[in-house]
This record gives sequence, C-alpha cells and structure tokens, in this order.
Amino acid sequence: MNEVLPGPEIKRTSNSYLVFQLDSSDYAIAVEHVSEIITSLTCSPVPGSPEFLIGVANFRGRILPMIDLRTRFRFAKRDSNRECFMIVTLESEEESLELGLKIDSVSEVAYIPFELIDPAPTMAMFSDKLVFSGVARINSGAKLIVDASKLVGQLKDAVTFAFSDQVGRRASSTN
Amino acid sequence: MQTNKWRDAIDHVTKIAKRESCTLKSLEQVLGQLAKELEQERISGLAFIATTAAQSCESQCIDATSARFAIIDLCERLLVALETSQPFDFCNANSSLRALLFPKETEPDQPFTSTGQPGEAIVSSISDDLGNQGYRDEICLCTDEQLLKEFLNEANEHMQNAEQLMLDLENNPLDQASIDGLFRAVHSLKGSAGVLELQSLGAISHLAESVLVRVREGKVVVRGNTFEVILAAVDAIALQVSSLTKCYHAKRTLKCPVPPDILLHCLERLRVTGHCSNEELRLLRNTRTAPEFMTGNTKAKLTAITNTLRVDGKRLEQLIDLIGELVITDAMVQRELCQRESLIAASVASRLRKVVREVQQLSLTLKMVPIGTVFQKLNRLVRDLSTKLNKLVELQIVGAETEVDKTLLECIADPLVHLIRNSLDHGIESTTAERIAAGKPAVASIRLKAELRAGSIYLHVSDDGRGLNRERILARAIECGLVDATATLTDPEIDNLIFEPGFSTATEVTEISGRGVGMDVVRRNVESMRGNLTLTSQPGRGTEISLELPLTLSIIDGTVVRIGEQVFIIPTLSVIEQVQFDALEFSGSGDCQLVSFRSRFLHVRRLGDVLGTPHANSLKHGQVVVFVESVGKQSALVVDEVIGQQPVVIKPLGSVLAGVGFFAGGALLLDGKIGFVLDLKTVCNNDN
Repeated sequence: MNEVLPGPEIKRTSNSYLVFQLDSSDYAIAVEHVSEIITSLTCSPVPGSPEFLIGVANFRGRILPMIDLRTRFRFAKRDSNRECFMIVTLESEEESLELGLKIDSVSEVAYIPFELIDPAPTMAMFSDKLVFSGVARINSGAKLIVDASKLVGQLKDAVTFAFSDQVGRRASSTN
Repeated sequence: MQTNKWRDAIDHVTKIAKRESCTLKSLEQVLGQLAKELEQERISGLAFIATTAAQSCESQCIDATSARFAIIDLCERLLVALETSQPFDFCNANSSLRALLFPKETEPDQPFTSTGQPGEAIVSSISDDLGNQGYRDEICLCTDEQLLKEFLNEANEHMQNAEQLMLDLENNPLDQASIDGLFRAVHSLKGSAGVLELQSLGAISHLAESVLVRVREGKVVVRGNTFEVILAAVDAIALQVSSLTKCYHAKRTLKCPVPPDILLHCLERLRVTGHCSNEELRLLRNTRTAPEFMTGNTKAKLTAITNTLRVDGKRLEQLIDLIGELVITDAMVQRELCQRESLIAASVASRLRKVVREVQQLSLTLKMVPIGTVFQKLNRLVRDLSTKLNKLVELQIVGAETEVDKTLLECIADPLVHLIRNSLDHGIESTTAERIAAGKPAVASIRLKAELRAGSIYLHVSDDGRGLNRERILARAIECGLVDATATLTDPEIDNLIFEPGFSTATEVTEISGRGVGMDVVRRNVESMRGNLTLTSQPGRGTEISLELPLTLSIIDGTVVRIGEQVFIIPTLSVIEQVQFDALEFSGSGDCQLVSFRSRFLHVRRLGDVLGTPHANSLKHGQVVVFVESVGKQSALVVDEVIGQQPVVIKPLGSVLAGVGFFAGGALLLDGKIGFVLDLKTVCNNDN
C-alpha cells in the first residue's frame, strides 16, 4: 500500500504551490497552472455527463468544463453555500487547455522546497490512476501535491469514456 | 513672446528684400537667420523652405531682382502658413518663387525641344550637373536616427500603398478614393522629406503632389499619357525611398537617384497644361528602361504587401472571445439600466450600446481575408490541367476582393478545386472543333465568381461547355442502383444525381476526375460548412454550380429550444419544419411512435431522451415536433418549447469535452448561461 514510485516530475515544477482544501484535507497544486480563483460561476449542466462534471461555464467568453473535485476524489457529498473555483490552464505543444476545478476553499500560496517533498504513495482510494506527484511534509501536516497535467489527462479520459459509453448504450437501447 | 520672433525675422527679410539695392548675398544671410529662427521654434518644415531659398541665393541660380520678388512672395506665404497653421502653399507659387525653391526644375514655360536627341541631352546634362552618375548625396542634417528610421518605414508603407492605388486607378481612373489616397501618400511624403531635408525626394514629391492636386480638382484625368507620367513619378519616388532605405541599412551616406529631368518636365507639363505629348512620353519611356528603375518583379512584390499587421492568431481569438463576452455583459447592464428611471442611466446605456455594437461589428471583420488568395491557386490549376487535357480554357475571376472568414477560406479551397476539375474534365468539350461546330468561341471559359448577398457569400463556378448529359446520368444512376429503372425524374433531380456518393459517368477513371468521389465530397463539405449547393445546367450551353456559404463559421442562425430546464440550439438551416404536437397524427405505440412527414414515416424521438437530459416524461400538449435534416437524413424531434430564433456565436467545447458527440459546440446566451448547439449529424444518425 505504501509502494513508493519514483517521481521525476517533482523537479519539473517551481517551488510555489497553491494550497487548497477538500473537507479538512490539504492539497497543493503548482501555482503556474492556476490562472485564477473565482467564487461564483454559473454552470450549465451537460446532459448525460459523468457525475463529477458539473457542467460548463462561460469564463471570459470561453466555455470551460467545470469539474467537482470532491466528487472526483470521492468525498462525501456536501451542500455548501460557499463555492470556489480554480481555473487551471495547461499549455502543451498541441493545445492550451483550460478547465475549472470546484474545491472547498483556498488557504495560501506556500513555498515548498524539494527536500520536503516525498514521492506520493499509491492509495487504494484512488485506484484509477495516480494523480499526485508527491506529498509535502510541512509543519501544518501533509499536503498531497496534485499533478495538474496528470489530473487533466485523467479527467479527459474519464469524460470521453463516460460519453462514448452513454452513446453506445443509447444506441443499443434504441435498437 | 516667442511668436513675435519669427514674425520679426520675416519682417526683417521682407524689409531687406524690398530694398532695390540688396544683393543675393544679403538675401542669403537674412534667409539663413530666418531658417535658424524657425528651426529654434521647431517649425522645421518651413525652416527647410527658408534654407532652400537661402541656398538658391548662394548658388546664384536666380537673378537678384527675381529673387527679391520671390522672397517677398515667400515671406507672405510663410506668414500665412505660420499664422493659420496651414501647410505651406507651394501650388500657387509664382514662377520666380518656384525657381527659388526648386532651382533644379526645368522652366515650366520653356518649350520642350525635340531636335536631335533631346532626351539624352537632358539626362546627360543633369548627370554633368551633379557629376555623380545620377546620384546625389543627401546631406541629412537630421541627426535623430530614430526619426529617420520612422520616416523610412512610413515612406516605404506609403509607397506600397501608392503602388496599389496606381493599379486601381489604371482600372478606374476616376476613383476619388484612390486619387485621395495617392495624394495623401505623396503629400505626407513631401512633408516628411521637407522636415528631414531630403531635397531630391522633396522636389519630386512636391511636383507629383501639385499634379495630383489638379487631378483631385478634376482638371486632369489619370488616363493614357497622364497615367504613365504619374506612374513614372510614383516609381521614381519609390526608387528614391528604397535607395534611401538601402543606404540607411548599409549605414552609408544617404544617396538619392536623381529623377530624370524629363520626368520633372512631364510633371510640370501636366501641372500647367494638363497633358503630355507622345514625344515627351516616348522620351520618358526611354529613361524608364534604365536598370535602376523598378522591374515588374519588384513591383509585384511590393503590391503584394498591403498595409497590414501580423497578429498572433491566438491573441486575436482571445480578443474576439472577450468582445463576445462584452456583448453579453452589455446586455445584462442594459437590462439593469433600463429599470432605473433616470435620464443619465438611459443616455449612458445608449452610448454603451452604440460603442459595444461597433466593437462587435469590428470584431467580426478582424478575421476576414480576401478570397482572391484561393482563386489564384485555381488559376494555376486551370493552366496546368488544360495543358494536360489539351483544351483551350480561360479562367475568369470575378470578385476576388470579396472578404470571407479565414476559417471558411481554408475549407472552401478543396471543394473549389473539385468543381473546377470537374468543369474542365467533363464540362468543357474535348476538342476545339466540337466547340466551333456548336458555334462557341474556340477558347472555353470557366468563370469563378464570388459575391456577397444578404449575409451570405455566393461562389459560382460556371463553364460554357456541353452541359450535363442527362440520359447518360440517368442510365448510369440506374446501373449503379441509385434510382429505380421505372422512376420518372425531373431534370433538376437528374442533375443532382451527380452529387450522390459513388456516382461517376466518366467511362474511365482519369487522374483528374472520374473516381466518383469528387462531387459528393463537395456537397458534404459545403453542408458541413452549413452551406447550400445548387446546380443549373443547360445542355449544350454549360453548367453552373453555386455555393451559398455563411460569411463566417463561428456565427450561425440558431433555433433555440427548451427541454426541461435546459436550452439547446438547433442550427436553423437544418430545420425543415416545426409543428405543434397536437396538430400531428401519430401511429405506432409505446416507445416507437411514427409520424407521417412528406410521404415518409419518421420515428418520433424526444430530444431529451436522445441527449439524456431530464425532460417532461410523456408526449403532451404544448410540445413541438421539430423536423430536421442532416446529410440527407430526416428526423422528428420532440422538444418542450421552441423559444425563438437568434444568431449565436458557436464556441468550441474544448478538448476535455471532445467526447460529447451530440454537441457541435456551445453558445453564450443572453442570461450568461450556455446553450449547447446540436450536432445534427450525430443526432440523426443515432436514430436506428
């Protein structure tokens, strides 16, 4: 359960991380991937989408998919009147990808030196694919570091899978 | 009082000039002082004029008496120019002032001698005069590098514009916009040349300008000889500018090719008499063959560059996106402001609306490019193919300047290639003899026409060939099993068979066409661009295929429908009919309800079911059945309500949602929410 994976990705990122919360757990994401934090967005649901995809929202004239990270990380449902969205931007050679992650709250931007980052443990809870590049031990406790590109890649796959599944099912049911 | 200084200086000059006993030397001195004074006041354009006048006096190219009168005249003009801040008026200058300011000009009233070889004589006399193979050093007193650089950039741009405008004028000599543009280019060049004290450039552009003034007044028409002279002048100016640019980049002393004297002479003739003789023109042409002058090649290169700025496509997209959002935000603000009963709110609201609308309209044109770039490639295609097929074909292009969205431009190139190939291969008669026998000109013509009409762009590809052979098409279609042998089809129906997949009448497959994939691909491409395709053919007379395409791919006319709480958009172009649910008769039962629509039974599906969105459970009153068609397939879709039609801007859903097959994109609605635009191809095909 505590199998240690080599984490070459750790060195890629700068040392500044945005720390955010889901319930009482701390997570961190490299600051260069986060372009903005917004507190309210109107989401339009996408019919037939997987549960973690809350919908799409109009952000500066662009349509961004909005992902509920609580649902994705299988936290219990919680009704909160406080919303918080993190706009994540990933630039790669082929495309520039943007999406919103719904989280509970954001606390700080922390400097985490390499020495304090351990390789991430694989956890049964996230049996799908590992989306953490490491875990940071700092005085206030452990923070799981989210690898933005892995997370987005995984979300993309999940969405594609959910929809192709749905289309297939519908097609077979009408037959 | 600073203004009094130059007034005093001018007064002083006038006083000196009015003395009968004054010499050229003293005139030069006072003019020099005046120039200094003006320079200090940073009125460099006029300072330049004063300097030139002083130099003329120094070089004694004018006699003292005419110089005096010229200088008195000059002072009056300077005063007018300074007091009214108007540009210095060269045009009405008397001959002695002109001689003072432009000592190298030929005398306007001196008749042109045509004995011997006057052209050469004049050119050589100019060369002798300057002793520098037709080049003259420009002593640029301007030490400001930046200023010079800016001037050269600007001048090059002006000259490119001027080139283009000349070409336009050749086709339409009375086009006031081109004349004005040309005048502005030359005028501002003259002004800058004056400031930078580039004398050759200043002199020729001044002369050209005064001719253009006459053109603008309608006294001279840019046609025939006149056109050639003005073109020569524009070329000469361009040559000077390019020479200066070259020198500047090579960090050498600025050198200017001196314009041939005959050109100056012709310009002066034009200015005074309004026309040039053929003899003068012949001499001018002789000088224009000099290697220094622009060849056709460089000219073509210059005209290709227009006054444009390259912008990163991504930034442009961003800007357009933001403007889209601005429009929506504006709508929200408008709604809010309307509720306030305040005059200020109302006036602010109307101003905002106006500005936003203008910004939006502008944003729509940002990505527009002339369609000519695609047409040019087709020109080449026609030439190559006609040689290969041994047919004499001429491609006529109309409307190359029509502007279309760049995205659209990329999509129409292929269909056009197909259509042109088809015309060449099948439309045009195989031999010239056949054409002549049919009473047609030996050279066949294919016409390509682009035009804007009612918010759409129309592309017509027509040929004057033999037209469609309906018997063969029908026979072939029956052979392929596309139509029933007993069916009776109308002529247009037969014609349109050529767009069916897998259809080709060409008895053998050639490299050019005949694989039977061309025309149905064309139709599919056009339809995927939300366009329409119509074909008209007259046997023996020719065929015309017209494409109707939307101006842009990013804005569509959408039919907004509601299902449950959510709003979806169906491209209006694909909607055949909307019928109230009550007005229809259904057959079948349970899940499989059928409705008769245009003599065909269609499976009635609830759109909510298809998409998997919550909706009213059973078919009931008030609902609407929308009949749609895509890729030849019709579908009957039940929606809860049809809200209305409106133009919507389609936005991509992004790669995360690439798997969502039912939607072609999203559209921002006025309430800030997003409506999904249905991809009807998937929706219709999903009906098994």
